[in-house]
Amino acid sequence: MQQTKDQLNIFFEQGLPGFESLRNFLVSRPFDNSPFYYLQSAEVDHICFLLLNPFEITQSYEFDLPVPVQEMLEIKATSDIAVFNIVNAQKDLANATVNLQAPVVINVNKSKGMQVVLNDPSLSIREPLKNLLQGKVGRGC
Amino acid sequence: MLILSRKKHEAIHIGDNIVITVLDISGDHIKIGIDAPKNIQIYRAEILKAIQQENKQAALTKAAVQDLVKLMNHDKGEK
Repeated sequence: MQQTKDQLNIFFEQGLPGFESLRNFLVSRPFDNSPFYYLQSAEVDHICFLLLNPFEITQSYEFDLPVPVQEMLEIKATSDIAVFNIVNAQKDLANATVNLQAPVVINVNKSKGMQVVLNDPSLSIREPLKNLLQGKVGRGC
Repeated sequence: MLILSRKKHEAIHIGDNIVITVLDISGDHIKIGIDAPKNIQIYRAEILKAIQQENKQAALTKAAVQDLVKLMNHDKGEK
């Protein structure tokens, strides 16, 4: 597979929950000034997720990346890591939600990714996108 | 399904390197200790199920996702 500057091929060894058989995804960014990204299955054409880079819109989202996950993704430094959240905009944009409890963590230098299911009940699976965009999410809010 | 009866502090071995121990029982709450290799993912079943369902709902076609992003950029430009 070809690796281009604006499209990364990422290998998900365990697939994604609900899509365990899909291992290869393409991550791309449609607009330079946008926090949104695409996560397109390289194997099934009609499966694509809308991703959000949370750190482009909030400073208050944080979680501990479990050590076993760091080892599986061969993460050595924070500069290896890119974090995204899957946006659920099934109904409509105004009611779109963001999955903060299971971030997609990618080692950009090793092209390995995993959707990490965090054992942190304070992080919502369906945080309204509106709240995030208005900075109403995270510790101290 | 294999069904075993265990008392407090008793354990179950699964394969060579997974041990599940009943640490405490209090009413209908049971505290379980799990020793397993690091590469074994352990989740509360209801959380994993919720994430699976959420992902299935969130999956769209690329065209639909592109439309959403265009809309979002459009909204942002107008405000």
